[in-house]
Amino acid sequence: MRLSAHEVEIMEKINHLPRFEITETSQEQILQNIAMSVGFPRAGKHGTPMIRRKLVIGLASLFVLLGTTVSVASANGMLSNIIGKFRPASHSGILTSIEFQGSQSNPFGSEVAGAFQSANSLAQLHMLFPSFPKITLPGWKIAPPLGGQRYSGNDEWVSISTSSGITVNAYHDLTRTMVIDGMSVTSPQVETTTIDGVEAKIFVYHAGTGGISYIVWKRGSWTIALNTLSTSRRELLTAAQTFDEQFKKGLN
Amino acid sequence: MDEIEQWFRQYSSDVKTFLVYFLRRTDVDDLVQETFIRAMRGQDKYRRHASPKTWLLTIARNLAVDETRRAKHQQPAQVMSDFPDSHPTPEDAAVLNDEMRIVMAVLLDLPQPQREVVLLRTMMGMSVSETANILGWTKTRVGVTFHRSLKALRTKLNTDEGGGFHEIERA
Repeated sequence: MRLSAHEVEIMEKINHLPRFEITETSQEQILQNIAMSVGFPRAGKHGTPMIRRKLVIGLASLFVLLGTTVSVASANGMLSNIIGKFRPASHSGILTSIEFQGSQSNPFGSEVAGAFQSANSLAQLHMLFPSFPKITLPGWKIAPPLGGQRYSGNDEWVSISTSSGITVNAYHDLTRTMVIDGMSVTSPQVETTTIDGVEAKIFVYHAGTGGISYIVWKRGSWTIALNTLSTSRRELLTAAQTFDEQFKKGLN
Repeated sequence: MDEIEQWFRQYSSDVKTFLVYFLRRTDVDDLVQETFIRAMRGQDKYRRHASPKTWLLTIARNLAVDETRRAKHQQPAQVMSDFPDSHPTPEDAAVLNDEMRIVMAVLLDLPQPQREVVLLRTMMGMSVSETANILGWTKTRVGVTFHRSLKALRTKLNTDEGGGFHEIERA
């Protein structure tokens, strides 16, 4: 079927419409998630450093030896089911690997109330979720959409991402135990530290040449899970301390 | 994994662009990821396809159809109104003028079957045969739908631009 000149012109116009790229940070995260979803860590551009490869294998072996009780991990084999299930249908962006015991996707024992709400700023987020304190995060490059999900009662989940790869998930009145990459935050293998007087749990997942670090702590009635693309303990703690400081101010 | 990683670096932009225009929203990174996970898990099936891009777009399209069904009664997090300000490449952003906004709006307004044919045949650079493979249609149906879609676009563009659509001489 021959196309007319008009039709060719329309095709050209469509060809000039914007194309959509995945940011460099998200690319790395997604590649890691893809690799992990099929059960092995990504080698990365220059191959997997032996020490990290050993760490991953060691971690997996440890789980097997200890016969971990975490249902997600034991049901599906080590490192094979660590893609986060906690993502409402309309939420996008980098997946977290956070799940909850008893229900992979629901942090609370309550029903979802309404659609996922998205916001373009922290102020807007506070307007949508008034119990989430009005905070500012100086120096942080917030990457919209921010958002959250309301559940019945006072249960709420709020998520904030930055362009530098920091993601914060905050849960109001969390009732279920959080499971990160198949490991419960109550597991003795998870390191414990403190942030301004409150206990915080650190979990570092190494994969290929990169990794993801999580830190979880409670502030007031909120449970906060912050993760960075870096496996540096110092960077993780600095981010958590900065966030906690602002969060506390907002609560007062 | 190495092969998938190579595909990802080569085609993730195509997959994302297709999903964005198909679903009319920009928050599709999770579906891009899912596309590549499924591709990796089903690499055996790929051998029957002409190119990795066709294979990936087939998976992406199936995911998008499922997503459309699933999200039928849900409000999207980001709708088409915020398209131009999302993540176009810098070159695209620089030339995103009023005319392009109109073209984009008209394209997004097409019914899904017409929109996907146009996307595959234009922005994705797929042949009639490849498009038929991806959609599971006959080549005739692809040709007819594509022709009708362009006609519909032309009519809408003429209307939306107040009849000022640039007339060119037929070759």
